[in-house]
Amino acid sequence: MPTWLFLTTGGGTVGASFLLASFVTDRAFMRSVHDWGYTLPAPGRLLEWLGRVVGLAILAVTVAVGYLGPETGYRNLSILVVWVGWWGGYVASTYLLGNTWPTLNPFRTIASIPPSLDRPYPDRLGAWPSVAGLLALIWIEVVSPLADDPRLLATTLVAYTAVSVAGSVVYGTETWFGHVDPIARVFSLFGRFAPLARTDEGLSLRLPGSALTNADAVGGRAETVFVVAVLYVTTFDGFVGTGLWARLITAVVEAGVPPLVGYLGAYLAGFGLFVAAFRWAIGLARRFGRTYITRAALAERFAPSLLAIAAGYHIAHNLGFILGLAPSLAVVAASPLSPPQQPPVVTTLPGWISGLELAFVLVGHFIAVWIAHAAAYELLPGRLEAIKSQYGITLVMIAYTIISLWIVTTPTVTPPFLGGGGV
Amino acid sequence: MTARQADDAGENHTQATTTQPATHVPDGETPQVCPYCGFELPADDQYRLHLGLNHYDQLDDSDQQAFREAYHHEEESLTRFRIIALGGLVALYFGFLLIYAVLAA
Repeated sequence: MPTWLFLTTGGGTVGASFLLASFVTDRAFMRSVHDWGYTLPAPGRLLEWLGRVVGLAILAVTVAVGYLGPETGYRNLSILVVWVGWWGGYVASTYLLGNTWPTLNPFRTIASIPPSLDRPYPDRLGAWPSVAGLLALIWIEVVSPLADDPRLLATTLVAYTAVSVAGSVVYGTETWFGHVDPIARVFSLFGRFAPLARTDEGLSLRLPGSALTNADAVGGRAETVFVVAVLYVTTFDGFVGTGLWARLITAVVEAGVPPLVGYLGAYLAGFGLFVAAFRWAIGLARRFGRTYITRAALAERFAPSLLAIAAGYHIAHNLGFILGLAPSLAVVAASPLSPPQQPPVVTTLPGWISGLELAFVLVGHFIAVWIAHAAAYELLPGRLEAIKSQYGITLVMIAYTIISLWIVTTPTVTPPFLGGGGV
Repeated sequence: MTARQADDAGENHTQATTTQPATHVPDGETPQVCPYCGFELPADDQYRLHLGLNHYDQLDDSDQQAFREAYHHEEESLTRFRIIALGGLVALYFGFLLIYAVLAA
């Protein structure tokens, strides 16, 4: 099957799901779908306390083994815990089950120990520091050997702890992890997609993604940009591993541009492109929706749909990687200081796994199309206007499906000029 | 549309939004301002629909009637849109089917 046909089929499926959703114009029905749910008893204090201890223990072991264990990345427990267990597996749990990070987060547990000055956090900053933080973290992850070098990884974890403690001492733990810390914000946003959520009454069980149409799912201009950034950084992480990028950056470097400048230029330009595409889609929503609602307010309601896409893409990008390295993680965890020379890996995964990855990309998009549809019906009085307001966001989603399917299925190559690195 | 159906539209199809989002009116346009919640809307039909969907019980008979008409009128344009959407789905399906058939041959 030619690639172009495969990619357009993916894009066509997303377009078809928009057309199908346009047949559902009954607000009462939509609300009944989104309101479905139960309240379960909240986990007890003991479980919370246990979660904190487990989080702390994992961080302590990861840092210690990072310094004391073998220097080879694939034999070192810290590399496997962070990239396979945490960034691959645990992140998936935040959108597939629920966000447990506020409890597990070892940085938070440590940062809450010293007393805080509780200085007022400048309101105008909003979520912007976390946007910058997320872009910076993923930039470091892509260009440094953080994914292969246990010593560097351990140092980074210590530095991250130090920054968290300093931030908490100045602004208070709640403010720091609620506004500034980019990782906490990613997990909190993914948790809004998840079927389980912690509420005042206990644990609320709902359909995945159904809470994303709530008016408060995403708040403020900065957080909408943050959502776009979540989608973008995963895409960029995959994009630098493609042959197209290898040829592009090679040509740019041969033209005399330093490699890191080339990487940074492309990273920021790509982000600008994503934000511009989203803004364009919102502009269309405003025009076709025949509404005076501001772009910023429309963006707040349409941005949550992108979280479903980000979740689908995250699992597609990581599933093969997690399954392949899970045996390594188990074996190395059994003897972290003297692991076998060649920890076991699953080299050939069954073919249906890659089919499953593609299915996750598409399911993420289907849920996103539905969320944008339901959000439009909450916002706009006209039913036809609510459908038409989704033209832009649907086109952007179709384009993104094509890009992400291409990245997931194209053969991975090592990004040039970085000296290893990049998961 | 019968009165009963219109009542359904009023009671069940309401929008959940209790606090309305921020609005911005372009220069040179005069918005219709909702007297109940202050929400600004363009065009007469959007305004009528907003009144009926959000404040049906507070409307007098003539406004309720105007909402029913706007809702009914909207139904007609929705039907037109659905026919086009169905055509789009069929075109997508058979378009891809043809391409696959040609490539498989």
